[in-house]
Amino acid sequence: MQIPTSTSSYKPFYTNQPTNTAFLNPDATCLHHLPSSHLAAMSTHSSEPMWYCHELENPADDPRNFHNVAQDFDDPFGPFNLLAGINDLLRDSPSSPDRQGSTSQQRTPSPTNRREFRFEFGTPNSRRQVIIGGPNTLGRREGSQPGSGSNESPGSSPPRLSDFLRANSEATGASQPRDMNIPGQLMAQYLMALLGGVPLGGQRGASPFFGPFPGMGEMGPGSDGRWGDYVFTQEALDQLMTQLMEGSNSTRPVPASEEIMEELPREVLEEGSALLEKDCAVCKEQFSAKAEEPDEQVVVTLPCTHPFHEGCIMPWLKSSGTCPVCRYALVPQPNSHSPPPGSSSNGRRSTDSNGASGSSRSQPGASSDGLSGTSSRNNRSPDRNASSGNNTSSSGGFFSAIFGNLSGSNGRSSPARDRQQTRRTSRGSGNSSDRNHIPGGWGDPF
Amino acid sequence: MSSISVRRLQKELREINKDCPQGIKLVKADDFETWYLTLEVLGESLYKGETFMLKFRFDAQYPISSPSVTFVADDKHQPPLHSHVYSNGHICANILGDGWSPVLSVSAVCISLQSMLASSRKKERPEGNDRYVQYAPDDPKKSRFVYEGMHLILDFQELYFADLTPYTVHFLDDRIWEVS
Repeated sequence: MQIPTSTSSYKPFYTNQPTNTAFLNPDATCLHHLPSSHLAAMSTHSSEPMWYCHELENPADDPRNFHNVAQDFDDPFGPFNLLAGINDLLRDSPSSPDRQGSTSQQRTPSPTNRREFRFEFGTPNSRRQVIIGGPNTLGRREGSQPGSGSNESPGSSPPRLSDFLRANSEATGASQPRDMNIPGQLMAQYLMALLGGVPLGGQRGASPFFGPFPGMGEMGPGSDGRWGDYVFTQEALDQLMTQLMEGSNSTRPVPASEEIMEELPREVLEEGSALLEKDCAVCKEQFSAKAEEPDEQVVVTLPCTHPFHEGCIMPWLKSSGTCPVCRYALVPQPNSHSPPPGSSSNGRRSTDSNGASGSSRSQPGASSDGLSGTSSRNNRSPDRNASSGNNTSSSGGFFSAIFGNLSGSNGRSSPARDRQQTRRTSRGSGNSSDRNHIPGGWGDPF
Repeated sequence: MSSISVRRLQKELREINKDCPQGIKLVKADDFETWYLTLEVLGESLYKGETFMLKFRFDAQYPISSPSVTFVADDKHQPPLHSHVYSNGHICANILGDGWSPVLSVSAVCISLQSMLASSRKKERPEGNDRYVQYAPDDPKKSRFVYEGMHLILDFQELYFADLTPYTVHFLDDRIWEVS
């Protein structure tokens, strides 16, 4: 198995050059979208301050040496000293001394005799400690506890990143303490996923954990611009976004079921009917008892009292189970909420002119009960946001939670990141209405 | 084309010819598949004095399916500089996508676009315009736009990036990410 130890794509992990700031920067939870040429260019700036290296007590721990050490290391795990350490720890076998020497890890026997792996980084003013392994503090299921890693059956489901987030919100509470405790397997697997070796989602290869580093020989972005779950090209991003959006199905209107459509009240037009005063909003024709086609003599009235020709409304309901006039939802729709106040800051409100005004889009009572599927998932969000409270304050996610406010020490960053940072900062500065944004507002797609 | 579609368009054509909304002119409607209209923004706006050409394409399912609406981008016409209008003329407006309703019509869409332009405060292309234009399908209906404030419901097993321009994905909680 050949491992290209000196390719620039690995550098972020082993240099302390500004590339690392990208990795540790809470506002850049993934640096893999940066072109690798960019990374390579950045890591050649030797004048950059060694902003975390001076924390190391032993010069041999200097992470910059990692790939040098690795080069005369036959072990395929060699270049991945950090990971190898984790691997050892999970296999409950001691690490070889030389490997140990070249990483910044320090092992501490934990009360439960599980191996533990700590590393620290940061500036003098802002330090973070990450503990991997050790006692299980997160109440995870027995089967996926740290230490059981390599014994886990291939079929078991890998942990989600959300486990980290949950761990974060549980562990930190309001005060956001500086230390985190992350079960080894989770962290290791996440790191491996970063390297592309192990798919967290389990789509690639059956090995749920290190094993023989599946796919390592072909590391690097594939021809499709995807590398594991990471995208490297704009095209791949587009593709992924499309895939996700179609997959998530969160915006597509939900058609009405056959059953619902059959049960709608129908009325055959007769002379003297009150309906004859009205129009069908789909074909814009007035109802007429003298219509030629049978379709047009039958009027379907939706629960919101809007009448339509049967031939006009049925095709629509098959594509979207809503009233064309007021968007009353016959079946729960992905975005069947009233718009949150102030959510429409641009002209989009006005882009819906005919009758479907903001207020009429809120659902008449009954239909919003017993929501299921995508709709209820959507509905859940405000509650979850509320209950998780300041979980959202770590909107930078996992890395932000761990790595905290290191961005302050980040002397340089790309313009794009600056922009994101600004954006997130403005978000983070307590705009609660933004935070509690409810899906389905006018800013949202239907 | 189905009779419903043709009859509906015939009716709309009659009404546009009879009583066209201000600032909107029907330029060409030789069939019931492609219409061209010009659009001006009335009153004080960033687009004062500019005229834009709109192209409507209808399929046989109209008005059940939305028309495909773009600003014409050619030698003579340029799409308006607006944060929801791409330089190829594609428009990111939810009424033209999932927000379509058969109640809407050609003139309703025109009026909506008019007011979208009228309320614009800044003349700019959408973020990621060049990228979109490069890969956009000919028919904007085949594009899936990420609307502002949209919440992607995702599983972390599916996606591991958090910051990707031009979309910025914000964590709201472990399943709900906001894209802006």
